[in-house]
Amino acid sequence: MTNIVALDSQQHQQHKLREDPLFPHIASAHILPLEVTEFAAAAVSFPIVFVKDSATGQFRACALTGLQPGQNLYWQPSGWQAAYIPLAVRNYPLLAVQPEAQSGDYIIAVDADSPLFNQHSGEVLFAADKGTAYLQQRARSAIALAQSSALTQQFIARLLELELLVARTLTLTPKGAEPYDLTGLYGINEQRLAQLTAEQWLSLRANNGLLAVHAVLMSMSQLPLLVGRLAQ
Amino acid sequence: MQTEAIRSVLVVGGGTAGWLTAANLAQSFNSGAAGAVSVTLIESPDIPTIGVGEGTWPTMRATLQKLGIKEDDFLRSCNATFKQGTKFINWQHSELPGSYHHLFTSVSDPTQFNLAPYWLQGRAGDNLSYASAVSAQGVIAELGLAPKKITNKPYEGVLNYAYHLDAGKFAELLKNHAQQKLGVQFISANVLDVTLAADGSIAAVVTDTAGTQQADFYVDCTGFQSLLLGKAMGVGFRSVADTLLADHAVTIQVPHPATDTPLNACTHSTAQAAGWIWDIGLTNRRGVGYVYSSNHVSHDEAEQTLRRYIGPAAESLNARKLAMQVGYREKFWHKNCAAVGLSAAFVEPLEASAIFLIEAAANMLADQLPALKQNLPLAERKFNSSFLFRWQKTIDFIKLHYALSGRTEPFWQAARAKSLIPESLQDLMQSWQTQPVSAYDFAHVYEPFPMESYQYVLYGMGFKQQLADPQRYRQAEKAGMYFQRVQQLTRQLQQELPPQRELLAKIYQYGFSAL
Repeated sequence: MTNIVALDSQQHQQHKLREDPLFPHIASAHILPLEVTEFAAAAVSFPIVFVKDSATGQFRACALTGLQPGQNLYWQPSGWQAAYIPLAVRNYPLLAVQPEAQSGDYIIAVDADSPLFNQHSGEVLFAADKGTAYLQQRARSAIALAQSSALTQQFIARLLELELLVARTLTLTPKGAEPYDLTGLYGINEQRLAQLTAEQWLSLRANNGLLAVHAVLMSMSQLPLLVGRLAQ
Repeated sequence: MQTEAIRSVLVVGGGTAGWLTAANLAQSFNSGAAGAVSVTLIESPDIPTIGVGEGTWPTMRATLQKLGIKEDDFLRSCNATFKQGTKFINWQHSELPGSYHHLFTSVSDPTQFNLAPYWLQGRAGDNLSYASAVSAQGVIAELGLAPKKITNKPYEGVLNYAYHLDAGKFAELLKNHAQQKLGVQFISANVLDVTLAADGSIAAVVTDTAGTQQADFYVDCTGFQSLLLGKAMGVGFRSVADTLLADHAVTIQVPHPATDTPLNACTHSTAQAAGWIWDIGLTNRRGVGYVYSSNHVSHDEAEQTLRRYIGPAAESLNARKLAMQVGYREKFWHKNCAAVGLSAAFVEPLEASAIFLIEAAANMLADQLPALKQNLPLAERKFNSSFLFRWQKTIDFIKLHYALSGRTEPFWQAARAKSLIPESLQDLMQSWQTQPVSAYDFAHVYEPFPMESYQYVLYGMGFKQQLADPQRYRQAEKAGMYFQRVQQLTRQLQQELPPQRELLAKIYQYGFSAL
């Protein structure tokens, strides 16, 4: 469970922030949120898919890291098994939220239930009622991530407008077990992409959308590798 | 002249019937495009719509989708909620309280595999109602949960569903959409006169502010007045007041006490001494009405009954009384005019047949209106025989609810008098005493109510069925799997489905993803 609270220089004066390169909080996450700015780098490590957020029904982009809920095939007790680490994973347990849309102001919040956020080990967050240099650096990257999240939403809205998203069901046959379907995943419709008019095609160039589209398509070659991890 | 083309349609009258029909025709004929058949709607700025038809069938989802209306826009603009069936309260006995559900979802389509014989044998467990044995939806509706999640596509449900809607706002939505997106032309004027040609067909419609309007084909959506088909063309009205005894309704709109008042997930229909009360929850208010027989209760008493049902909240609210002409036109289509809505027929709104039969008529009209005038007579015959069948079956189905009741008040005793039950229904009820309801009892493609609807009502009302040859039902194991599946789904969906208001709030905030 998560318990997101705003960071407060009074209330959290004594708190520290620890980093854990093993990322235990995603040990059983079968999808990890990605932003469009990460697609090119992420595509060499994972299949990039689109899923609906269960709370809002809106699409978001994710790295597919497991083949059933509760399974992360890139996570090992010895360390992360992929070249790329998604920004949200690195920023955890911090995140930046915009209390009013378009206001430009962000609040830094923290998952207060995370053991990384505690009173005994890690970097100090506040000194003399002010955020430390360490906190400021972490806050900047959290804000950068929140800003790319807006770009991701624009990118997905564009894909929906152009009818470029399509539902994909992965049928998986684990050794010695019944086949099952992994549903709720969406990908880019290549056929539809080929049918775009020149004008629609060019409209994807904004915010590097063409690169993102192709990164998603190329990331599909990671799928057999992901399935292969299951056998290991 | 007989080879002339039909290039223009004039819909006379707005409301749900007029705008649904105009929108459907314009969509089907591509009326927005140059050179296409034109669809014009003329509506009086002075005559209010009746606007009591506020419950739909699941067919409405396909209708809205066909018209290109987004589900979130519809829900938002019509204060609409999800309807998962009807809960009939106290229909069986006068003294003993009880209720049952008529639902939209069953675990097995009974025309493919009928679970009823196995339920009768007790294979679903003792004391489990038929509805709870074959569907998870009753429990879900009772809990006030929605039939879908925010991650579902527009118009896609985890469970089958229809809507409750504000009929006035719905007509408004259709009016805007039909003009802006579908190319319907709109004239605001009062109809003063309807003139006939020598052959008895409609020649023109004379208005107060828009001159004389002519078209190749006319659709009469003028409500109970039936200005074109009834008044001008003289097509007679066949009353069924001797079969369906309720002839009036008194209605009150009850605002919700708070913006978070929980919403019923199905229509409530509660039996009263001389009729029944509908109770429909929209997002902002309830629409409540007592349908009664004025031969069995005075208008004042009926209004008092309705106010008692509502409770203290009714004190400051106005009631509206409506006289209902129960029955149908001898023809629904005559020469160059078809009637849709109240101008064609009306029965008490017990099974939300009003809007549903408007949709059906608009669909058939859109498909069958010929391109050439020479083909009108055949289309007319098909339309008339189809809708005569549909209305008669609708009357049978409504009558079934009364025929099965054991209530003791004079109205109820009169309502189930055998002499007043249509023979077609008597035959079916007789056969169902000893053999299961069968798909072959509903072999007509345009049967308005499906087999499962009859089963929900029959078994819900405690119909005594003693199957004459129980040896025939040997698939107990398969039935058992279905019954287990229902119990599993009932538990699972209680966890997964959100309360109606919670889902509606998310829809207002995010909308459904188009995919």
